[in-house]
Amino acid sequence: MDYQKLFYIFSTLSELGEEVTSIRNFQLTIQTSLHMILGTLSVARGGIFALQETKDRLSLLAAKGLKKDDPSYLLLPPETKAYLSGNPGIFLFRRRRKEIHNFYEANLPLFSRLKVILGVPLQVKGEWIGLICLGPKLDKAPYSSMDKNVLTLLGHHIANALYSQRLIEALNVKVKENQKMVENLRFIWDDTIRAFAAAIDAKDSYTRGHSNRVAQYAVAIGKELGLKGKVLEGFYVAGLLHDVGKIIVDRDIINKKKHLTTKEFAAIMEHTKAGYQILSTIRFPWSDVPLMAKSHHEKLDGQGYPDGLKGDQISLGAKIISLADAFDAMTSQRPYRHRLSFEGTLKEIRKNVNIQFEKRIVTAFFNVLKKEIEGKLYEQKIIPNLDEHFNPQVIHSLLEMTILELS
Amino acid sequence: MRNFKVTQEHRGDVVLFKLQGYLNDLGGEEVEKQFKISVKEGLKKFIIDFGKIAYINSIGVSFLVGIMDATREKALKVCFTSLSKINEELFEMVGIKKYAASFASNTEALAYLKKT
Repeated sequence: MDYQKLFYIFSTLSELGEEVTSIRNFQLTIQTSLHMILGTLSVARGGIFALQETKDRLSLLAAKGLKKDDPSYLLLPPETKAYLSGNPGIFLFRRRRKEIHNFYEANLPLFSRLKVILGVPLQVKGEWIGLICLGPKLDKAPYSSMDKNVLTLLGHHIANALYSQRLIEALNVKVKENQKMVENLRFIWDDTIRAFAAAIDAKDSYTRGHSNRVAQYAVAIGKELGLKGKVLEGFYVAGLLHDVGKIIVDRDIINKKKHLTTKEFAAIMEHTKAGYQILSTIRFPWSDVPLMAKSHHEKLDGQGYPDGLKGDQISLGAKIISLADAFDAMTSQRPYRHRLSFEGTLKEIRKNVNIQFEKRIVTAFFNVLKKEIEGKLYEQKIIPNLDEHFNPQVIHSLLEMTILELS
Repeated sequence: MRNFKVTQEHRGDVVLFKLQGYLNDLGGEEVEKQFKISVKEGLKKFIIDFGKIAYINSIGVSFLVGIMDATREKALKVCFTSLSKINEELFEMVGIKKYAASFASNTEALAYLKKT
């Protein structure tokens, strides 16, 4: 063999190596690979087939010389499967072994069209995974031993590509299964948290839906502040669970209509620490959920509880939950007082800027309310929860004025 | 397809295919496709002009093998023109040269096909 032929074969091998490792359409890779084989050995017809999972057929991956109506698979008699699984190497169809003869007869229309004379089993790690079938060479000369060596090399590349593709497909199936499982777990998780929040609120006959509203308000404020994704998810969960510590507080104290005694108020205050302890045992995928529950009654001026934290000692999340919680508390009927009007609530919040609430968080919250009144948000999350007919123009002016004042 | 173009001209009963660019990917299938359509239409004489072909690899050869296979089976006449030395040697090596006459220009190939 002259150096030109060798160079041609090496070029093909190099291009095939590049092709099978490239990240592109697998079908295109196999088609290209087939044409490389045909062009290297000067063969006009041939096909590449992959063993199906059922192991009783080979499906057509690429072919040259077939017509549209020709079968797209090869039937695989059991004896042929056993023979080809035994690593027989390249074989001639005309040799008429029983296993090959039966294979040929079972697929006569396709094999006749391809004029097959040679079969190249594709194996990876001792496992038979496919077959290359080739017609005669252009000059009708028999396949030489060099041709067969070249085919073995090219076939090895193609077998690896096929094997990789099978692994990728198997991996994709697993990934999809896992995604579905995670999604289901997520639903269960969400439902559990929501059920838990409902159970907390049920303890207080006046706070039905409170935790859910706080969660929604907290997310709306967070969004307005430009926060995204996991941070907002954390706010939502913290909103739902911020009162979880109330589980340890006596129901009679929670529902008491008269003013609380110092002892009773101390018991109420315990819910923040209890909530922190309960939530700290859960491995949340979001940071600070236990801390947000613990600190949602802290005030900027240090007069809050349980730790009397001041200003920046309080986390952003806790400050947001605190405002959302206070807004819902003020706009809801409580056993010990009547609800405040929407307007009255806004004024009360404004009065407590830099005392209880942080300015930028109040501004963000008021901006959300203003946008909801203006109909600029895709979905209203706060206004529909207010059981009150208010004058939108009055509230809008109040919000605008306060935002301007705080800026 | 990106770097390969084939145009077709009719000179009497002869079809002249002018190839351009790189015959090195599946885009080269176009020349075999157009050739086989012309054969179906009853045409029997062809010239393939390689004057503007920059590079041919085994994929490109596979399409030419397809053309040569049909040429031999249906007793067609095919001429290659303007082959570079390297492509002439390639065609010799892969065994397709013996199924087509080779000429320096399309005029010479046309004159040859008119006589046959």
